[in-house]
Amino acid sequence: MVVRYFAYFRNFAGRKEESLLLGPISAIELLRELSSLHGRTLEKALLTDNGEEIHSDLIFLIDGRNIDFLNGKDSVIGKEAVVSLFPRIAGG
Amino acid sequence: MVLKPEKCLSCRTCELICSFHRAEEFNPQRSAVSVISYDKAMISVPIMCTQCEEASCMKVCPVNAIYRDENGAMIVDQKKCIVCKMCISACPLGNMAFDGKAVFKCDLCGGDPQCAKFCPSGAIAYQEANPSSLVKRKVLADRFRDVFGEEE
Amino acid sequence: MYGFLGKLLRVDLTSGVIKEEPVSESLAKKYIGGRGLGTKLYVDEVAKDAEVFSPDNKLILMTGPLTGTFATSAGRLMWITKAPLTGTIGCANSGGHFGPELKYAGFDGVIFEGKSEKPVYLYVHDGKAELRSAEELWGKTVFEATDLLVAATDPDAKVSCIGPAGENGVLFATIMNDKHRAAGRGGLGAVMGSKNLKAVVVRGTGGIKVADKTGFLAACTDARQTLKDNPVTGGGLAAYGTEILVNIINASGGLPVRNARDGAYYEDADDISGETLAEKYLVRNKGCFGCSMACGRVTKIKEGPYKSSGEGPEYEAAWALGASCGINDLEAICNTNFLCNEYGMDPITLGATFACAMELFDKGLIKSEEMGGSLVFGNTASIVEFAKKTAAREGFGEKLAQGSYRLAESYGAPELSMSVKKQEMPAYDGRALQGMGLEYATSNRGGCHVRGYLVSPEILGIPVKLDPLVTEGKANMLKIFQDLTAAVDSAGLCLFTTFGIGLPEIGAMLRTCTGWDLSDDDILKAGDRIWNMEKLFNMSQGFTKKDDTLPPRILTVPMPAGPAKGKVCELDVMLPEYYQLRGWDAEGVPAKEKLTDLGL
Repeated sequence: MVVRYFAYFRNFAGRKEESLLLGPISAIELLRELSSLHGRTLEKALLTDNGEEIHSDLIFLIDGRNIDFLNGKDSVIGKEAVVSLFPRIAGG
Repeated sequence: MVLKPEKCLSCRTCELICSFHRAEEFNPQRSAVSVISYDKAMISVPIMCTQCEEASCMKVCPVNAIYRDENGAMIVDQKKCIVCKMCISACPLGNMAFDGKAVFKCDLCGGDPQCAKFCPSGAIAYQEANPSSLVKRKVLADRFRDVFGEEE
Repeated sequence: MYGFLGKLLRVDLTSGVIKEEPVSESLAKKYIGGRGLGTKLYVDEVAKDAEVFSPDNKLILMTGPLTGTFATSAGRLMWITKAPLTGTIGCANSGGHFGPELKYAGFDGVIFEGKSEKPVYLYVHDGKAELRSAEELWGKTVFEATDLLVAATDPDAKVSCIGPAGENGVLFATIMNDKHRAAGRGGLGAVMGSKNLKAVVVRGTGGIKVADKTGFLAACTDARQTLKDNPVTGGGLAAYGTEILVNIINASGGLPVRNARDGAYYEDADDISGETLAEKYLVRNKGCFGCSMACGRVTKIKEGPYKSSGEGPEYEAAWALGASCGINDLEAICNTNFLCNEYGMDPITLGATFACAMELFDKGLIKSEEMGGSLVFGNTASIVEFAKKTAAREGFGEKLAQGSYRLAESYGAPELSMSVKKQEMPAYDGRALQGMGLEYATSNRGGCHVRGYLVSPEILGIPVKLDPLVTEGKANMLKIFQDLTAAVDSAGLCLFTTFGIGLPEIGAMLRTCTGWDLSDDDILKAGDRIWNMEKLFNMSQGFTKKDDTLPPRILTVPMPAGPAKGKVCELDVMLPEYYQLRGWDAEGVPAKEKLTDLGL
């Protein structure tokens, strides 16, 4: 799968995107993987302090669909999926 | 007061809160702090009283109405002031002003400067007076560290 | 009156007579100020059949009670008239420092009527106002005119003016203040130009008083802290500006590509994103008056063919001149955006009109000889070249200056204009964001995103999360957003504050400022009243249900790829529900009881 980072997350992860040999995997499991790969700063932005839940300010898209409208943290990500991770942002 | 023009958003929140604190209305003209914006140079600079050690305003005052308080701020004693405005002439930085009734200047809000409190970007900050220039020296040293240091 | 100065200027440009008038407090309380009060004055005073460019039409400048106070991001003003581009109510908002300065000069607003024989500008300073010759300024760009006017008046004066586009009657000319801030949409700059009014210059040393000083300071402090603590208003907007939306809207499959012909996923989106702008071209961020969010971009292209500097671009402009035209060169986009500010043109309509011309060319409907250049998808240099031609209405620029609808119609293909009520839809595809489709179709000023910004719930999860692909719940949320936005626009606040604060905070500031006993519900109801007043004006101009629609492409051509693949905008499902929630009949006509209830 491909994971794309946006806004501050690019600094936290030290990259714009990466290909990972993962999947199928749940959304929350993927975030734990990414946290262990890229360290504490990213982890703090992706997960709640206890690591049990997805951070409320994370926008998590699987192939363009927000996991809020899929199966939340249990949404399954396939091997070929594109994941996009955004902090809470806005514009207009 | 520590001013960092590179952080200034030119939003003039400082002017609003200063005028409200001093004159109970929103009126940049009655603020003791002003933001000067340079369009082409793309920067804005907040300007206010520097509470000079050798304060010309105090020296020139014919009735000794200006004194330094415990926070280091130069204060105009409005009871003594005869509104001769000599201090306005004497201030080399333009930080004494007249609002139609009285002269006014930054008094550091009694030790809790409202401009610093509400500045959204940290362009105006209130810190204990630092007698040395160590802060700036450290910034310079940091550059040497960045260029020659081994830390990634 | 608190918050208000209680005075308006009435400027008869035909006779040159300037009068002072009081603001009616009862009217102000009913319509809040700004957008609401200004529109009320407009619809009451102007004959329904007044031609948009005739002396019978009026142009109104209005601030809100919070404008120029310590309220959060309260530097806003509203320009109101009939919009040349659409023929609907024309109502365009701007930030910067000009609005507050008008109040410090002693006035809440200005009503311009008639038409001056020769170019003039209005100079308002500390309770006085005079018309001065602007013959030397005619033809000058916004930046040149602003510098000259400051030099001719007061170093601390603030200027609102038109550029060559407004003088030349470009149908999407803007009114610019503080050089870089635009009252952008609908072509109000062309109305100003038709009156031979080049500029309004203001300078004041007065102040604004509020009713409850302690309460107001507490309400503002609370609202400011809430904005500061919010990740969007307390960090994201400052770091990346509105352009941060490019990637998220694109990833959600909602960024229209090449006139929305090629779906809504742009391969090169990151090249034109807020991240790239911040990395390569951002000098610093900037706030409008009293604003802590500071989304403004001070940007510079240091070298190359597009060497230039200025402010922006905003997200919508970057999309219009970028993805919509198949252009991925952010330097050319920045440069063209700066030119739009200098000439006084709306970059959204300009870019979308370019995209429409590009598709007409692709279809062989426009020949290259006629174009006199190569305005084709992906041709980077062409957007700079044709921006200049459009402002000057030179060559093919004459056709572009009419906007995309009239352009496409002249080639017998109006369906290729991505517009609603002849105004181009901005940077969200109604197939991928169903609620935004409904917003475009129902907005009182045509294709417009800032009357009910459902992108917030549909993509950003603010204040609640709504699935962008479903129609359920959109009509209800849109009504609330449209009503709240009308109130925010009327109060003098920036709409972006609503990313962080809501009606309770806004209500607290408004009540303590004005001293009015308005409940939160009363404020929302005032928004509803304003919305219906605008709707009634549009009806008087002949707009009906058939105009509350979207381009056929959005309604009938399924999205080719991405998360919204196969989707069209299901307006037929949402619109009846929306009418019903508004208290309108099946034809979108407000019921009598509804209007009585609103006091209209």
